[in-house]
Amino acid sequence: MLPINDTEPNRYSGFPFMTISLIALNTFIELAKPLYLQNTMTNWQYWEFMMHFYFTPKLILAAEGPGILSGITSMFMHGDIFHLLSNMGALWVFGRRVEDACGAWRFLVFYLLAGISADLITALVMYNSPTPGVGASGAIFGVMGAYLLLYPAGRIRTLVMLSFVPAWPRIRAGWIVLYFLGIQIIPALNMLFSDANYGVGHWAHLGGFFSALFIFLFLRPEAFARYLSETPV
Amino acid sequence: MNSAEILRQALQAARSGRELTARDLFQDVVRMDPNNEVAWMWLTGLLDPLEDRIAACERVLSINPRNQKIRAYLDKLLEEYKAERQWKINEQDEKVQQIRSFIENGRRNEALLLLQNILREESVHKEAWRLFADLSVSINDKVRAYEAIVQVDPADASAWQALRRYRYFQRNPLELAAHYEEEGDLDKALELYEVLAAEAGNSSKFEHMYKNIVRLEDAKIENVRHVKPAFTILRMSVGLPLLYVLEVFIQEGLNPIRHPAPALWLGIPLVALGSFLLTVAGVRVRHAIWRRWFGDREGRGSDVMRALVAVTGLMMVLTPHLFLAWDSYLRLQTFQIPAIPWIR
Repeated sequence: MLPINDTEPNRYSGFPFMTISLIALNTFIELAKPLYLQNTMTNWQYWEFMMHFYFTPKLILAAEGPGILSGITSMFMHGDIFHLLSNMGALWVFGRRVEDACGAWRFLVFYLLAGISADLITALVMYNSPTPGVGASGAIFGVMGAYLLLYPAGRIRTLVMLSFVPAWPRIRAGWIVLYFLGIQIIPALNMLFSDANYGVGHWAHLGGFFSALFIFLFLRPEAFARYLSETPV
Repeated sequence: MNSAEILRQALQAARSGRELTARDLFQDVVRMDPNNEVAWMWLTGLLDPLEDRIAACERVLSINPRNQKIRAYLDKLLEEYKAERQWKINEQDEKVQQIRSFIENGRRNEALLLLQNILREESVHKEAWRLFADLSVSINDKVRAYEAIVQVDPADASAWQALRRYRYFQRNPLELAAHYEEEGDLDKALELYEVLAAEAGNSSKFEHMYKNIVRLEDAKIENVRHVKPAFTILRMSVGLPLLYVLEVFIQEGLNPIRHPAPALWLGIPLVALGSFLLTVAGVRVRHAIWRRWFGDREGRGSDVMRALVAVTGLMMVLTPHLFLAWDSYLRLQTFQIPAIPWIR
């Protein structure tokens, strides 16, 4: 199941400036990374790079290394191009209308807050983990959570493979977001209780998702009044 | 012909009972010789509206303050003027009561029509003008109403304040529409946008007004609740300090007791104040900050003031973040990179 596009129009602004900018910045960093990480780089040099730019819970708890700076830098970096594409695809699908409800700059602060909340939950739950984490998915789960709160009845054009036959129905956003949330829970619990490692930051996803509650601090006045009045935001 | 000759003719006309001719001639005399006491004295009896006769008396007294006869006459005229005014007010009181009951019963258009009838006959009824200012959507009408009020009662400070506000809104009509929206008065905002759309000079202005009209009509149909501006400012000021607190908490290893960094916590009030300023500058609502700090009587702030406040707020938010980044940088200087855990 691959969400492709939000089919509903914007209400307040025409152009999703910040969503596009975030996608462009993440893409630029991912494309520029190979220039920095040359082919000749040793394992140790790559490890050094990760220790400087990726979010490592064990270092955070020990108050060593770059601290919060790694929380910010890791939010704009990705493991590989597929990681980037999936995250930016989700940001495009869910970010546009959340940005519309907030305004560009408030959306940026919310995005950062969701990413930092994801880091915080990861550090709290996986406090002993020496594995560095990277990716915008915590922040993007925050954006998805905000989408679920603001537009539960929104329709998302989604690519679904029925055996080998592709179909792209418009599915209710609520179901899609809950599906992506649901597939996090069991692996997250497994990581917590049996030290399993999937190479995916499931707790960051959950932390980001629940930080969506902060979206109400960032909504533009009219969007907030509409939400309170139980009318479409 | 000189003024003495005209005065002679005017006196002749007055004595032979040709009052209108005499009045015109005396007026010609005072135009040529503004300090002619005799001409002014005659005019105190010949001018028609009571206010003009009072003005003529005052003029005579300014030329000759010892003219006791005119002083006594002026006192009499002033009493007459007061009584006449009171009589007019009493007469209009009844109509104003009727207008009030129209307003209470939601019959706004009838109230406005009756008000316009009263005000057509040079009203001195403050309350009538005030109701007119409240009921009318046109900013020009509001200005006219408050001008009339301050003319009737120059000591009315609230009317002066309202007059200054509406003169400001005359120059910035969109601000008034935004003000109505903040107050939750969508009907008035909608009417004002309609008036502005009708007066729009070009298609882009019209389109802007039209968009606002559609937006407000939707809000009315959907019964969108009104949220007080103070709550909006409070709500929107919380986000940035919250982000900063989480950042500092992470920087301190989630344990402020074990890894204290008090200097970073000092940044919280700065970020909170900066966030507040950014919010006040970003959402166009009336706020005391514009009055107290910038002497802006309307309390809405001009674009320049807003930009200034926004830049100040941004600096206040960014400075503690720069310290945070500096703290991270210093930590990196002494950072011993741990061994790769999966290579033993």
